[in-house]
Amino acid sequence: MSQQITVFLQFDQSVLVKKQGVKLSDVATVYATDPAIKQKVGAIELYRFANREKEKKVFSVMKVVELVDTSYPELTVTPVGEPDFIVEYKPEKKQKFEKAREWGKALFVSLAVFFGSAFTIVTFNKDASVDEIFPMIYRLTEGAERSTPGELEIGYSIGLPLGIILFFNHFLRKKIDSDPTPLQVQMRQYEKDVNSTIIENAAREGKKENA
Amino acid sequence: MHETVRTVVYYLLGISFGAAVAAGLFAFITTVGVVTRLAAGTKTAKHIMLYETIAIFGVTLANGFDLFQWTVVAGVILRSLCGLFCGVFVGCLAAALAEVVNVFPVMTRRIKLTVGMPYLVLAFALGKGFGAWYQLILAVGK
Repeated sequence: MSQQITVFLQFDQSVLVKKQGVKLSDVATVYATDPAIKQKVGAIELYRFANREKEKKVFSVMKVVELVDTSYPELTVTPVGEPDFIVEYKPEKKQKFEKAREWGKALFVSLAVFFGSAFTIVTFNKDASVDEIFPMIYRLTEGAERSTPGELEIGYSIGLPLGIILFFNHFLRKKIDSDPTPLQVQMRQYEKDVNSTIIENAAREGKKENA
Repeated sequence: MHETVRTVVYYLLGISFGAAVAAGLFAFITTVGVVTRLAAGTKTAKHIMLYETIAIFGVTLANGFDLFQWTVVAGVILRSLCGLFCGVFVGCLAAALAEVVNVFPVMTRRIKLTVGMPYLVLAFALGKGFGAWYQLILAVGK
């Protein structure tokens, strides 16, 4: 019996493919000591999307192990990373006005964020009676009422954007340090949650490609 | 001298109040995930830094209008836009808040509801819409 050769396969939770025929090298990082084996394993076809339409398919890594094992029984497969993964097929179709549509949507969200955050700060100011707290501080420190907004209000108005810039870690495109911003972190977290939901749904509905 | 010190202290106080409120408010908005949800829904996640910048402008301007009684001449179109997008944002905020505290999963598990989730969401949206309509339009002056 010949010596067992190990192939390592590393999987990410979600991959995007543009071609109908999905090869192993499209969805995983393949490693083997012998480059020829690496080539051979990478070229195995995992799946073929039937229609040229957007589709998502969930695979178990066991399916991949089975595929490699049937094609090359002499190889030992060592999977690394996610136990299940999503293959998202998106045919390369150039949509008309793609850029314009995207900026249109960005404009929509921007407007919602602009008026929304404006609305939220005013509701906060009213809710927390900010307009009573500042006169109170003036009364405490000067012993008399003030009828017009002054230093406290101006300072507060400077502090607000400062606080948000610090919190979001950037102004325009200039970042304060190299960390991702809180919304970028939240965005990734959300994507991860969506992916694991897709995988669990597929498993529950028996749509997962198992071995 | 005394006056100057007091002015400096006022500014320091004001700036720290503002920074604390801003950080708190945006920690809340981030945790609830309104902006990320909007970005995910429109598939514009790569513009997320733009949205953050816009939020800074929105908050700063509105705060000025609120505290210093600034005014702006706005026609019916700008007013409608303002109302519409405040609504969109607050609607997202309300829905996201309900989601963060797991209102729907808990409710549906309790009463063992397995179908009709889309209708539940529609009912939620219509309910919010009707509530606002009643409070702000029908019940005015009653």
